[in-house]
Amino acid sequence: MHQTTVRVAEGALDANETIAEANRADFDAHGVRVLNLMSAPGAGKTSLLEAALRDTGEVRVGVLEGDVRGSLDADRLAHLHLPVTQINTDPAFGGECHLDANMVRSAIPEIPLAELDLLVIENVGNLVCPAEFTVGEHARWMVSSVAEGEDKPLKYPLMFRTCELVAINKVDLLPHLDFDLAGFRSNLDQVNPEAETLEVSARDGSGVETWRERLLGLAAAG
Amino acid sequence: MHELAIAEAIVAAAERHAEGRPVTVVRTRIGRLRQVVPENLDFYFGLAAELSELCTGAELEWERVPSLLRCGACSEEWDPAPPPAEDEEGLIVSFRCPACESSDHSVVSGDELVVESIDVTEPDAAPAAANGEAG
Repeated sequence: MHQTTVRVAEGALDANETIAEANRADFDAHGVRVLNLMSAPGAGKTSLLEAALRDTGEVRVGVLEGDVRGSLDADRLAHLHLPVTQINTDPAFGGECHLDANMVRSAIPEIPLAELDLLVIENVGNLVCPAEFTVGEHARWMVSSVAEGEDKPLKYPLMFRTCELVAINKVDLLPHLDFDLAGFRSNLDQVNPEAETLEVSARDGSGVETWRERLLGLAAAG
Repeated sequence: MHELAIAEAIVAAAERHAEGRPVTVVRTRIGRLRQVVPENLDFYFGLAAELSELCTGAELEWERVPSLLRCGACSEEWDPAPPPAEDEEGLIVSFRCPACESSDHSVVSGDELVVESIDVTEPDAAPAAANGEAG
């Protein structure tokens, strides 16, 4: 018996990237633009989608819900009468904390791509893992709520670095919090000087119209 | 926790290249811009390797790759994530050029999450087929 060194020189996540490319090719074949929407748990992804998707105008929107367990978020969106597909990550090793390209791949047959212009993938609430795994999306956005504190871009730089737009949610709470909005912007600028921000409140509706226009505008970006 | 998924990906990459031979060492390069704590990765690598066919008992080696950005406007190069200072004041990261403040930059290094090579155990080639002695 002897030891041999085998050169690998492969990105650990290359296999995920390959599947993500296959997903993107499927989405492109149907002319569907895909948003990967990420945040910490409880930042308000589902609430902002509910607020924005009440009226989708001409744009045909579907949602892919990623959760560790259950269909609570999909149930909340049911009244919008949009195609909502649920993925649960718990059959995997203890319940994965993010969606990966393969989980999305396995859900694609259940998504009516031919009837959609825009697919919003609501990722599992988590600021760490989803940053590493692309799923075949065209755009990556985040929701960051003011209740989380202004230091989050510095603590989770990879997540904030990989997103083009950050919706700052729950701004109706600003009078009650010590959240430093200018500090948040400055921290975000340190890790991602190119990121756009939108101030929104799913609760009182402020900024929601702009958020809705930007969201639906993704469909035309192809 | 998130190192588990990455550890599983590393084990899978090693297995693909092992071609059925038992793996004893997996060498990786991990850039400082990845949110990977090598010690945590090592722990989860042990768990993932345990469940694998060829990597059980394999050792994970890593090389930490420093982060370096280059400004697209003035070509200044800088480290956006210097190692944390001992007093924990290490949250100084900036992806904006310290010389000209441009936001246009490219990553020279630090984004790596690469399986470089693996060591596998091979039976010694029998000197002659007639010998018949197992390696």
